[in-house]
Amino acid sequence: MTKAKNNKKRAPKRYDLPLHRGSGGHLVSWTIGVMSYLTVLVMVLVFALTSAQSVWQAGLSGRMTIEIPYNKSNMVSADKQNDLVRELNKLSGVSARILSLEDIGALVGPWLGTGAALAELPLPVMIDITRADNNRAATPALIGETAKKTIPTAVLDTHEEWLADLMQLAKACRMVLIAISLILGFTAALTVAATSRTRLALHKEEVDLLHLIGATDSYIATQFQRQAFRLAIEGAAGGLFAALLTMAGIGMAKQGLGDTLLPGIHLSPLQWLWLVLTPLIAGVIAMVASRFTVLYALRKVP
Amino acid sequence: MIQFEKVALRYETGPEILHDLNFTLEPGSFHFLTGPSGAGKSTMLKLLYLGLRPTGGKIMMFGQDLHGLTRETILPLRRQIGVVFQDFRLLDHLSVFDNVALPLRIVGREEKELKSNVNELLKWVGLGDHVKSRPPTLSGGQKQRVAIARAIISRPRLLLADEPTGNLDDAIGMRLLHLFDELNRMGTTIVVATHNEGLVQEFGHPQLHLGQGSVSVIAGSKKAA
Ligand SMILES: Nc1ncnc2c1ncn2[C@@H]1O[C@H](COP(=O)(O)OP(=O)(O)OP(=O)(O)O)[C@@H](O)[C@H]1O
Ligand SMILES: [Mg+2]
Repeated sequence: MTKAKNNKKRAPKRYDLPLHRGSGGHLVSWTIGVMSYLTVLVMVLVFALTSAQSVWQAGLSGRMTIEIPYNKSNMVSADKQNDLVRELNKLSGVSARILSLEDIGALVGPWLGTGAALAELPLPVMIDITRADNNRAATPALIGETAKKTIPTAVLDTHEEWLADLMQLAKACRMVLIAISLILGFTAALTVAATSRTRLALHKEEVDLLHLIGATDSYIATQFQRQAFRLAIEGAAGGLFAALLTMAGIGMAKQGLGDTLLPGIHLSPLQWLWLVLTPLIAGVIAMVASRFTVLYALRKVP
Repeated sequence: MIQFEKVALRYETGPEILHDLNFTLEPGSFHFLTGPSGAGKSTMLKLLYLGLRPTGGKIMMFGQDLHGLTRETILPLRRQIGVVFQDFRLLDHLSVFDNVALPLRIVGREEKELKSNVNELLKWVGLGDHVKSRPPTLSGGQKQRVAIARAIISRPRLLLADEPTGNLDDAIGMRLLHLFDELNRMGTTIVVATHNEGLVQEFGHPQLHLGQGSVSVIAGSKKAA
């Protein structure tokens, strides 16, 4: 019984071609390892960008600001300002409030420093508006009109242009990153294909023998593809491990900075699954690349 | 079973090595393939095991014209032919068992069923103690028997052997040919290329004799084997 077990365990390691011997195996593992390392990091960036995007979106959509520019010769009275806030709050789903000096101070603090004497600066009056997401009645146009009716100099800033620009930029970045990972995958496939060709040539005698015994091209390709799969998985697992170490390192370095500058990278279980699956994906890419290379090359043998 | 009609062969742009070969091998026949070194015995076997296509003429095998064969349709024919190569062509990284099992695995035979077949055959050729050895650790004669076991494991209809007694002393050579005789009696068609005049006389099978690029059939002096 133990003997049967042993045989079962050994069977998958048997190659009818001496492919395990040198001839570029390490090259494949290393190349795929480096590519996987880069791909995992790129994927983490894509995930981080995606979550940052949704944070921005949630934070900014439905928020607007009405700005009443500072004008020394024609100050808008506080009563007028309060009137406007009251009018705005009457609109369904809208809540408005005047930003206090402290609020503004918190906003401009990073640029001007917290000690700035804000009261002496020519700051505009800002009214912060939050619109419930599901409310379609209070359109920006309506809000803008309401504001102009009470205070003609008021200007509505919906942030939407700015948000749209930011989203566009994030989207472009994501596309570039995805393109990079595709290129990495493609390069990995090319490496495997090139190595498979070399090995096919190297083992021509054995391959010829298999043909003479009656092996199909597919049988021979299977020998190559099985090995490519194993080499790629081994390399990619190493790459994944190194990438996880890198992330842990970055995470530790980041702890000193706090969460203000960079949004924390929190991966969802699905995103973790993708990362963990990279070795498998690399293996499948290598397998397919090697199979088709070998089949294609064999088809040309008379 | 096999029919050569005006078969000719040249390697690439070289001279015509074989020309105007005409002969028929009946099912169940046993022929020696003789002729001086360089006469084209190995080349002729290559034609027979479909490792080469003739550059002229027509070969019929198992009722099929080889001319129309494609990469796919040639496989079923190859699987009915067992070959003992002059240089054995064993796979050095595989055990004796795996070398012999190869033709069965290629056709997708179950490991369980294949195991007993291979072990039985290895015992029969006297290699029961070397199942796990690798070819480089074997003697010439042992390698030869591995090659023979591999050639006959899938019970081919046609068995081709190139100088199978080349590395063997006469006694073992005789035993080997008795083994072939046994297979022949079980219905296998056999062609054995050999230099060994003694064996040819001893066994008295008919000869395909190659000389000056063409073949002549010499009738056997068959005595009861
Ligand atoms: N692959 C090849 N390319 C070109 N010429 C070849 C090739 N193989 C064999 N030849 C030539 O074909 C001729 C016949 O060779 P072959 O090996 O068939 O002879 P043989 O009868 O088997 O000889 P031996 O008894 O020494 O084994 C020789 O002149 C040889 O040089
Ligand atoms: Mg020869």
